[in-house]
Amino acid sequence: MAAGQERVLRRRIRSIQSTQKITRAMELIAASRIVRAQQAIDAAEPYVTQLRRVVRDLSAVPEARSHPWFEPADERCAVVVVAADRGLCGAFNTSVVRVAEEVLRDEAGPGPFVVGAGRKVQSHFHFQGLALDEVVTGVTDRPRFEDAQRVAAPVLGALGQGRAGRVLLVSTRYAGAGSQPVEARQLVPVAEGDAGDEEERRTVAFELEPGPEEIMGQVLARWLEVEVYAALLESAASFHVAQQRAMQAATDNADELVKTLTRAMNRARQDAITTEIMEIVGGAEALRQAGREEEVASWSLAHFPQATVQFPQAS
Amino acid sequence: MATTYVELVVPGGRLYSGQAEMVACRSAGGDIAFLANHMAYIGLLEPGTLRIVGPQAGQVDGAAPAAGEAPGPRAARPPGGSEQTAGELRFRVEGGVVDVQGNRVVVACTSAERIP
Repeated sequence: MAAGQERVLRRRIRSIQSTQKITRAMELIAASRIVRAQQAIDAAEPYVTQLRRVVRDLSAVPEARSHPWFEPADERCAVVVVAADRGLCGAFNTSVVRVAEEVLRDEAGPGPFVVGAGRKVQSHFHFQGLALDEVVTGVTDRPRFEDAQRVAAPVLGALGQGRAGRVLLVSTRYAGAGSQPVEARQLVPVAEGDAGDEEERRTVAFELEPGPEEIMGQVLARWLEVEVYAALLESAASFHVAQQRAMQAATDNADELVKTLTRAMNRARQDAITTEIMEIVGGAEALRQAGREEEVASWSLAHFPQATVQFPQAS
Repeated sequence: MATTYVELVVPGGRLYSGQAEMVACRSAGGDIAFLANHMAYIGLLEPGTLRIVGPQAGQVDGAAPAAGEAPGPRAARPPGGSEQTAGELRFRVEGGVVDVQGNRVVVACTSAERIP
């Protein structure tokens, strides 16, 4: 029945509109979090830069370069995968996990040590039946430095215990609002010049306290935490960008859908009205032909008080 | 008195940047202080107190809100930052790294807290 269809459509429109309210709210929330995440990146920048700089300067010292992180004997790899805890962010989590899987596929040697950050990493690995040695959740929205330390701790442990010699970091880099590429970065072995830009390479001799090996060990451990921290921060900012974009698309789609459905609903209503008019006219015509005009007049007055029924003069 | 550029950075931001007469802290080898034009030095910090002596119109940036904290209204600072020309600033620091080169002392700590 046409009226029934109209009701069904009206209900759907209303439900889409309430979903749209939610997606619009999420879009706005994500947008405000992008700003905050960017501020967090900026706030961390001096510390990150400083540690990279110290590592770069130290790596110019021959004794410090004897640290195993420069030329690891162990080929096994620890992989840190950073994605998000939540979905509704388009392909954000999927693209990180896809790169991670490629990396793991390329690791021909003995099983890599995998550390995940983000509930979505956990669920994906679980679903694929892949092993995840450590997982840290609840840290990817607004990462704090302690969270980075929690993610880095198992990696440092694996390196210390000789369970891994190399470290790869798979995460989304925040290269401005328009570009957030997923990257697999090698942290260990520490690449020459990777730990900082190539500006003035220190040539002066400098005093080290304690000895070069020990200081290098400590600084590198801090540096690894900092790299993980920077990755968490950039990943969080990228996540919010991805979520904002996804929610914006959802809101636009809802708009489009409401428009289409409203059109269909109006047509359904028009159809119902047309049918009704046809019925009335048909009924009136039948009565007129039977010579019962008075009945027609009273009948139509009863049903349509506003309508004036006029009949052509019977010739 | 000659001064050196001093910076104290933590993951949450810059706690101090500006000129100062001296920086004193405890490194792995014992207490150490840096005056202007100290020779190049990299050392590990022990947990303890870091003193920035004679800060010259330095900026005490106050802990920028850590990433995990809501930004919230920041406490109003006295106009023009907190300009101090005398005395010293004290910070309680967790372990960190001191990097000295070219009349620049940069202290990077995992966490530092201003001691009033």
